[in-house]
Amino acid sequence: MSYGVELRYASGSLIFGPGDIGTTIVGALSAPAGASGSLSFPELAGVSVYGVAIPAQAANGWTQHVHYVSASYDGDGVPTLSWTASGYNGNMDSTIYVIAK
Amino acid sequence: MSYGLLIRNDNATVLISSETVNPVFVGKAVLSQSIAPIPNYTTYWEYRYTVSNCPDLPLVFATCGDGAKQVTLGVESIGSDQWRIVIASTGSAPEVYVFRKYDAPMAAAGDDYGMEVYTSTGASCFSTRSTNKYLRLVYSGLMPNPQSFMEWRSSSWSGGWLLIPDQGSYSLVPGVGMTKPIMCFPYAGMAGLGVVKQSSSAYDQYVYLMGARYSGGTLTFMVDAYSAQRGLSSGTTDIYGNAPGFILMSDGAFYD
Repeated sequence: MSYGVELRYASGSLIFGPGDIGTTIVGALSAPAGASGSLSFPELAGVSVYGVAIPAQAANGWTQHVHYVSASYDGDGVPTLSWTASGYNGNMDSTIYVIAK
Repeated sequence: MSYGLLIRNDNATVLISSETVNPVFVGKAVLSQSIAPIPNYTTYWEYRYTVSNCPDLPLVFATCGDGAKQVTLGVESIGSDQWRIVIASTGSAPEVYVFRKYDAPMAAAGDDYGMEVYTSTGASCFSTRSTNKYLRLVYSGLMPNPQSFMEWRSSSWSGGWLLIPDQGSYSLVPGVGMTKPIMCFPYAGMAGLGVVKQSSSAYDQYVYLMGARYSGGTLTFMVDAYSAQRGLSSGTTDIYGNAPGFILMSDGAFYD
């Protein structure tokens, strides 16, 4: 390789190659049914974030899902993730994985 | 960040950071039940999987049959470190790869080589001695916002469910060669089976399936809509303002 990062396990197999796309998890947030919320990550200034909302599945097949997972950035590049969760039939809480990109 | 470690690749995405953790591969989920067809959703099969040894919420990737429409409906805790994963697909049962966040040292023998990264609290957040393979992404894409689509309504419709397919589809071409593409289907803005939108005035019920299909190297974001009961007018445009979500792709060959 001529540039980029290449990391390998002790076995010699590749962990990350130059063409890979990073996805690291900042943390997981609970998204209560029917509620909106937001959270800022000042420690990640300059890093983009997005949210992967994972729906809760009840035994009866009903699914709680999350609308509107969006990210915004202030003038210093500090990201804020915002979300809105809909609530149906049991008000199950969903979880959002916050991922740095 | 003003201190710590941040490694970005040439595409400017974060590979390793002392502020974050990387998802690691848990294993492949086991198909436990196939339900075909899903009642009232005749083009979709419901596939239920179980995965063990996963102490964190599973991050689900799955193969997708050529041309099949697919969506991850949800995950449900069914015991200690055990989860049920439910996927709806118009194709055959996909292979399901489960990842979780790395949150504890998973050291193998030998501590005199490699690299280990710690957070400011002293917790290990990355180690080349991890015994679980890290998630390697080969593509991530922002799905466009469907904005709106036409709902089917008819005052003469008296019950049952109708499929209104392909209310919106938007193609994304990853443009990378993969041995075995696996995808983390869009969760954000997704409506799953059983999610019913009700209008008290019209007493309409709708179910939206928002997922993806992968065919010939092209990834397509799709929306299917179902109408359950009659409405008061026909051809009403519904602004279903789901936010754009991310779709992630990796190569199952990394983990097989």
